[in-house]
This record gives sequence, structure tokens and C-alpha cells, in this order.
Amino acid sequence: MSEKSGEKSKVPVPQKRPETEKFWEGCKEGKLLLQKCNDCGEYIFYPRALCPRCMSQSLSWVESSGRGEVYTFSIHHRGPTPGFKPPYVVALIDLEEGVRMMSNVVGCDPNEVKIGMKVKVTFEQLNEDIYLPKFVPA
Amino acid sequence: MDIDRDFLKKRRACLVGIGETEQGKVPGKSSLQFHSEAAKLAIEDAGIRKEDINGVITAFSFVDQTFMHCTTFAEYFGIAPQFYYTSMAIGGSTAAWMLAQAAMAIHAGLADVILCVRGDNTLTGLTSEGMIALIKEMSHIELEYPYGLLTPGGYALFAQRHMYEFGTRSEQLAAIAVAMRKHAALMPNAFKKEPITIEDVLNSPMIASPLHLLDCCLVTDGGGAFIVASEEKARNMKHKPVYIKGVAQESTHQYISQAPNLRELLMTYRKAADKAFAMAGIQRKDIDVAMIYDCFTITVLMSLEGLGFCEIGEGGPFVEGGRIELGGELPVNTHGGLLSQAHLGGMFHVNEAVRQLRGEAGPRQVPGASHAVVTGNGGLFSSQSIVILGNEP
Ligand SMILES: [Zn+2]
Repeated sequence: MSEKSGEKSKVPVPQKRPETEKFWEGCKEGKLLLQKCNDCGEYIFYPRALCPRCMSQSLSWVESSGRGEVYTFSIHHRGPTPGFKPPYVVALIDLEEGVRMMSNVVGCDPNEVKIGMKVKVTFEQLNEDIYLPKFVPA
Repeated sequence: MDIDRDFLKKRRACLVGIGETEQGKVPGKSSLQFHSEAAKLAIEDAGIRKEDINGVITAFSFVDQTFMHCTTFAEYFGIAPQFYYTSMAIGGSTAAWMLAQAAMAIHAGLADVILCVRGDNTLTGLTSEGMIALIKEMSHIELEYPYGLLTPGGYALFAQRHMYEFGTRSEQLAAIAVAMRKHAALMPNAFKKEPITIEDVLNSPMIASPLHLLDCCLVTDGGGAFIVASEEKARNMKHKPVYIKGVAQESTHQYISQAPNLRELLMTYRKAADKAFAMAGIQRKDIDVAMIYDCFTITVLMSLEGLGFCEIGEGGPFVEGGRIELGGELPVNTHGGLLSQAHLGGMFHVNEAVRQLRGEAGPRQVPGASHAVVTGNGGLFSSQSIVILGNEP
């Protein structure tokens, strides 16, 4: 890998935005934070500036149990950049709070991942500030 | 709200010309060059002059991204669309929805001869950075892309769930790829013609389970265009017009983590399809040939269920046994589709429907074809366009 292709060889690191800053702070502390609407009670993921159900701008950050199950998954045998090391599992996780998020299922053989499998959150450090939530078998 | 089912009848819009350049690996041509060559072919096919065009609809280029795509093309090509123009960007649902946009502009009396055109040198012109940028755009940049989701991977997530809920098998998805290849073999302007078997699909490299390489569409270079005109203008043109009879679109999400559960997703599609069929005033059984957006095999299977050609969950058995092949109950993508002919975002699904309804599809002709459905699918099942065409008003 030449210096120039260095950027491509890495895993992309999320850049914080106003809506997500608090979320990433939570990850750094080992907490998976969700937004909850103070007006209609909806859990919201991904983080937004208003409730997509009722438009309320009164939202709280609450800690998720970090537990959920695999809604669906795909074992990727190629990655978008060389930084990804196939095979790896991309999955949609249904959290106990009722929201769905994308993640990787790690900590087991990719072939052991099944739909409906119980998983719990773990955090993978990408740099000083960003800890990416991933899931391991519960 | 209740849509106006009759709006297309009040001032009818027809497809009057089609054009497509050489498809496949065609080095040395830019996106705008492909646009222009295809537009010229469509104008010649319609038997009109460039000056007759008073509306233009373009989409976008993956290779040459421009701020104002439509007017950039119009200037390059040497037309000034005085009455109506727009650039559309709803991914793979763009081509089919260009038809609806054109029909609406004609209905509103804003224009009466509208050129719809796309072209790109995606295969030879797109850099690896450009390809990564495309993959990025399919995902939420902060909360999906860092997990390494590939575009085939997004469709793989649907496929895996479909298999889990309904028992759909890889062999059934493979039957779709095999059918497209059989059709492409009869299409002079197709990139991939060598026959494949179900075993070939299953033995091709796994990209993102359960999707193999041959479950995935091609990447190609080329241009494509079609011209939509008012019925009044169409009367004096070269070919018997093909009528736009029903249109509908729907969207439930952009990013796949926000998509509704599979059954609900397909039920939403079904409601849109019901609207398009009601507008056209025909039934599913009246469709002679279906042009289904086929970025991946699973896309076809889910679309057939969403459209209501079979029940939700029954797409697997439906696509088996040659039912979607020429000579079958519902021939799908007789030109070979994105899986085997070429990938220009579904422009050729429209063009092939026109050839079928004119009776000009040669060895691929579905005898007596009078109605076709054309679909487009953008993002990760994020945007659906449905258009019903017929060869009579
Ligand atoms: Zn709310």
C-alpha cells in the first residue's frame, strides 16, 4: 500500500455531526444511547434533530439495554475498501427498545450467525474519540 | 388521498422514439457523448427534428457529476428546451419515473415532445474512488457505512430474511439470472450472452451471502434514450405510439436499517401497484411482458410479489420452471435486463417494452403483446416506480 492509498486501506471512521455528537460520547463511555421523544414516547434511531413520528423537538437521550436480536444478516466476502477484512458479518439488529440498527456481529465464526440470534453490544475503538458499537453473541 | 385515475386519459402521452448506443465495454467515450448519441438515435427513430423537442429530462452521471445535469446536456447537444426540463435523481427508479414526469408535463400542457436520456461510461470511466463513493451513498454515512455494507450486501439482507421467512432458495434466485441470460442471447446489443446454468450461478463467487456474483447486475458503458410525445404529435410520427396508461411510485425509507419489515415493505409496493393497474384500467393477467428492475436477482423476486403477480412469499416457486422466460406465463426482461444486457439504470426496460408493444422485438417477441409493466427500484428498495404501457389508448 502506497502512502496515497493509505486512506482507502483504512476502515472509515465516522465524523461526528451535531445530531450524533452525544451518541458518540455515549459510545466512548460504553453506553449505547438512543433518543426518546418526550411527547410521544417513540424511541428514535438513528439520531435526529426531531421526532420523525410527531415532529417534537423535545428529545431525551436514554441508555439502551444493548441487547437485541439479529433481524437479518449477510456474510460479506468483499469489502468496500481494503480496510475491511472479509469474511465479516453485516447485520440488522432489533434492539429490545424496538429500534433497528446496522452493525457487525463479531466474536464468533460468521457461519454461526443466525436470524433471531440473541446479541449484546460491545464497542470497538477506532480512534481516540470514536468507539463503534458492534454486537457479540449474548 | 384519492389519485386522479383518469389524468392520463385527459391528454394522453405516448412513447414515440427509442435509441440505444452500443452497450458493454465501450472505451473512449464520455457520459455526455453517450447521452448525445442515444438522443440522436431516438430522434431518428421517432422521425422528428431536434427542433421539435421542447422538453428534456435527464438523470445524473456516476462518472461526470455536474451541478445542473439537464441543462449541461441540453447545451452540449445543442437544444434549448424552452418549455420543460429537469434532472432526476431517484436512483434506479429514475428511468421508469421519467415516463411519469414526461406524461405529467404533457398532461399539464407544458410541453409536447420530451426527450428522456441517460448515458454513462461507468465500466471504463469510474475510478475505484468513484466506486467507493457510490457504495457510501447507499448507506447512512455515520451509522451504516462504517460496518462495510456493500450494495449487494444490502440486497443480501433482504434475500436472507426472505429465505428465513418464506423458505426461498438460492436455486430459485439463480433461475432468474439464468432466464435473463437466455434472453440476452437473443438480444443483439447485450453485453453477456454466453449461457449459464443454475449451477454456474451457485458456483460463482459469493459476494455477500446469500448473493453470488451472478446474482448481481453488470456494470457497463453506453447511452439510452426515449421520447415521449402528446397523442396529437404522435399521430404524425414514424411508429405506432405506445401509450403510458398507469403510473405509481412509493417510498418507505432510504437506508435499509430504516426499512419496514419485509411483508409490510412488499404490501406498500402492492398498494402502489394497485393504483397503477387501476389507472391503466387493466388486470395483472392482461400484462403480456414484464420489465422488472433487476439490479439483483432478489429484486426481481420481491418486485413480482410486490406487483401482485404472485403472493408475498411465493416469488421463489413463481420464478421456477421457465415461467418468467420467453414462452412462459410471464416473460420478464426479454432483453436480458441489468443482469445480462447492460446497466443504464433501467432505460432499456423502457425501450424493450416499446419494442415488444410495437411488435419489433424479433426473436424475443412475445406474440401479440399489448400490455407491459415497467418498474424501477432505487437505493435499497427505497424508491419504487411502476409504469404500465399499452399499444392502444
Ligand atoms: Zn414524538
